[in-house]
Order: sequence, then structure tokens, then C-alpha cells
Amino acid sequence: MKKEIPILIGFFATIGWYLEFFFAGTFFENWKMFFTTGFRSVAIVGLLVGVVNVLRVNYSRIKYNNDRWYSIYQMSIIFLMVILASLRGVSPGTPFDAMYTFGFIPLDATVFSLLAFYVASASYRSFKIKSIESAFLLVAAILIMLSKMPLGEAMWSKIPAIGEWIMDGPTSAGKRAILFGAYLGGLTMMIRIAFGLEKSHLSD
Amino acid sequence: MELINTLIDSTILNHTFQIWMSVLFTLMMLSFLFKDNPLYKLGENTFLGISLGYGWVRSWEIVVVPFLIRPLKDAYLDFQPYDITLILWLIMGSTMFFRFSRTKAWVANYYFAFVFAYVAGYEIPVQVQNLFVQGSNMMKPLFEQPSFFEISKWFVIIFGTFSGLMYFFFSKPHKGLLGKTARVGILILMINFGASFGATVMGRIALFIGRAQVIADNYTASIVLAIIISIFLFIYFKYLQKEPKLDDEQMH
Repeated sequence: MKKEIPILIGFFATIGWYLEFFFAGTFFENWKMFFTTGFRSVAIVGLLVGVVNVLRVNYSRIKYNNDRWYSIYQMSIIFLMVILASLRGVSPGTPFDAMYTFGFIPLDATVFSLLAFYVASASYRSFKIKSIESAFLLVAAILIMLSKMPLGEAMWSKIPAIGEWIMDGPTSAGKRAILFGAYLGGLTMMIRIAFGLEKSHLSD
Repeated sequence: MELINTLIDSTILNHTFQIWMSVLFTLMMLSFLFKDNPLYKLGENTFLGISLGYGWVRSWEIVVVPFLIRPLKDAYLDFQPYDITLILWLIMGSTMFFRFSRTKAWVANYYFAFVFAYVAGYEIPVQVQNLFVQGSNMMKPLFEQPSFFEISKWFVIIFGTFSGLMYFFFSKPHKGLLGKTARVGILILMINFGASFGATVMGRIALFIGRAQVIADNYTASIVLAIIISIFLFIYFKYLQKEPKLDDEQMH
């Protein structure tokens, strides 16, 4: 009851994708449409659950004084965005859009640019050539970094071309090897989920 | 209402205010390089608040209204037998709310089993297609390559991918020819990781240069705000910062 019926519903939803390839007729087309509409509806409820969860988490932080003022501030920013959208709309040039352009974009770019410092510091401490493999890693990283800055070209005019060769050749090969494995792994996992063999996403 | 509109026009829509806001947020986030501090946390919560508010509003407009509110309204005004399916799906979707319950969390299995299986059904042909697309993109004709540079790439891609795959092949021990091929595979993977690392670092530095340019272009705002932030941080760390409380684990 706790797992069997949900798995059965899931199985019927999965085969809905394939039945119309093998059997003609409106019944199987409607079957697929039925589950497609269903997926859209349940996904919307999932969004609402996300909204409730944000409110719930912030409520408990405010109630138990766990960074209370930051939560109050965060909630007021969220509601400010909602109020701005309902007052003037969301098209370009509105206050809602200005908050995104002059608030979100600088914050987003700065958060990720901070990582440059931490990655540089971590790599300085951890990159040591102790084996052939680590030497390959370090040399590739240095060549790619040099190829992407004017200094590299100033040092030797061939460095950008070498960087391009590394990106298109060995990097592409390594990525493909990983992707082949990932696609095969994903395919296996999807088949296991479809047939109800994989149950780790269900609770007891 | 008039007052609110005037307030919005003179703040959020005012260009000078927008520039100062942008510089302030940049400096607040950069203050983390010194130490974790309240200004950084304020910036962090602004980031979360704007992104969540933006996401909520856009989702409401693009997803919730056309696919939930409008069909429900139509069903209310002119009920048709097939509208029952919408209500049934909404009831099934609502099982997700049981995730918040400690004892009845299993009810949400209906939600997860359906969503995972539906996505799995969609993804199976996509994954198979991806495999073929990757394979066919890899195997371009050798004799159509325009230069030695491209030919060398062709060899590295074909044999590099093959040796990389051999490294992940665990059904036989990595000895003899298989072991040597797998060893080449490791080197190819290491070059991939190194190149990805280098590209990521350069991407982050490009972002930082962008922020530095904003700071340099608006130097009046930058200097004033940097002085204010520095004074605040000095006062905070010198006089206002409380000693962190010891938790149970540290006390023992």
C-alpha cells in the first residue's frame, strides 16, 4: 500500500510514453495526454509546496530566534518583489525588473567571483606534482589559463592555439568518456525506476 | 498610493540610486574576503529574497495562472466531466504536503513515484538519443579534416574517448593491453579535469573583472561606500561582535 500502488501508477505513467508508438488510436493518445496533464498539475503543486516550505523555514527561524532578523529581512525582500510586480508589472523598465538588474545580477556575479579567490587559494595549497597524472592536470590547467588571458599570447603566440587544441582534443575526449558512462548509468536508473526496481526515492 | 509611486520612482527607478545599490551589494559581498560579517549576511539574504521573489512571481505568471488557476476557473464556470481528472491530479499532487508530516510522510510516495516514473519515461529515449548523438559527433571522417591540427585532434578524440571508457570498464582486471589503455585513459581524464579547472577559474576571474569595472567606473559611490563599510566592520569586530556560544559538543 505504501509503495506498491504508487509504483503501479508510475509504471502506467511511464508506458504512456511508448504505447502510442505501437498501438494506433485515440485511446492511447489520450492516455499519454492524461498523464502529461497530470504531470503539469502535480508539478504546479510541487511549486506551491516549495513556497510553503520557504515560509515554514523562515517562520521557524523567526520563532526560535535563529538569525531572526535576517529571516525577517529576507521575507520582506520577497514580499517587496511580489508587491512591486503587482503594482507595476514585470516588463523591462519596471521596478521589479530594476530590482533584478541592479540587485540580483551584481549579487550573483559577486558571489561567484568570490570563488576565484577561494579556488586560487585552495589550488595553491593542494596542487603538488607527486605523479605523472597530477603533472598532466596542472600543466593542462596552466595552459588553459594562459591561453585565455592576453599574457599567454604575449609570452608565446602559439599558446592560444595550444589551449584550443587541449579544449577540443583531450578535454572533449575525457568529457565524452564521462558522458557515455553517465548516459548509460542514467538509462539504467530510468529503466529501474520505470519498472519499480528502484525504490530509494520512496519513504517507508 | 501616490506616495508609494513617488517613493518607487525616486528610489528603485532612480538611476543614481540603482548605481549605488549595485556598488553597495558588490562591496557587501566582497567584504566576506575579510571575514564572515553581518553585511555579507545581509547581502546573502537580499540575494535569496530577490531570487525567490522573482521566481515566485515568474512561476505564478508563466505556470500557475495558465495551467492551474485558469483551468480551475473554467471548470467552475462551465463544468465538464473531464474536469474531474484535473481535480484528481490536484489531490494526488497535494500528497506532497504530507512530506511535512513526521508520521504520514509515506503518503508523498504517490507524488514522488509518479513524478520520477513519468520523467524516467521521458528520459529513456533522450538518454539513448544522447548516446548516439555523442557517438556520431565523435566519429567525423578522418580524410575530410582540413589540417594536421584537426587530424591530430581527431586521433586524440577517438582514441582518448576509447581509452577513457576503458578506464571505467571494470569487468576485467586492468592488466596487459587493457591496463595500458586504461592508463592512457587516466591521463586523458586528468587533462580534462585540469582544463575544466582552468576554464572555471578564468570564468570566475572574468566575473570579478566585471565587478571591479563597475567599482572603478562609479568611483565616487565606491569610495564613499567602501569607507562606510570599513568603518562599520572595524566597529563591529572591535566592539559589537559577541563571542560564539559553545555548543554541547564543544563543552564536552
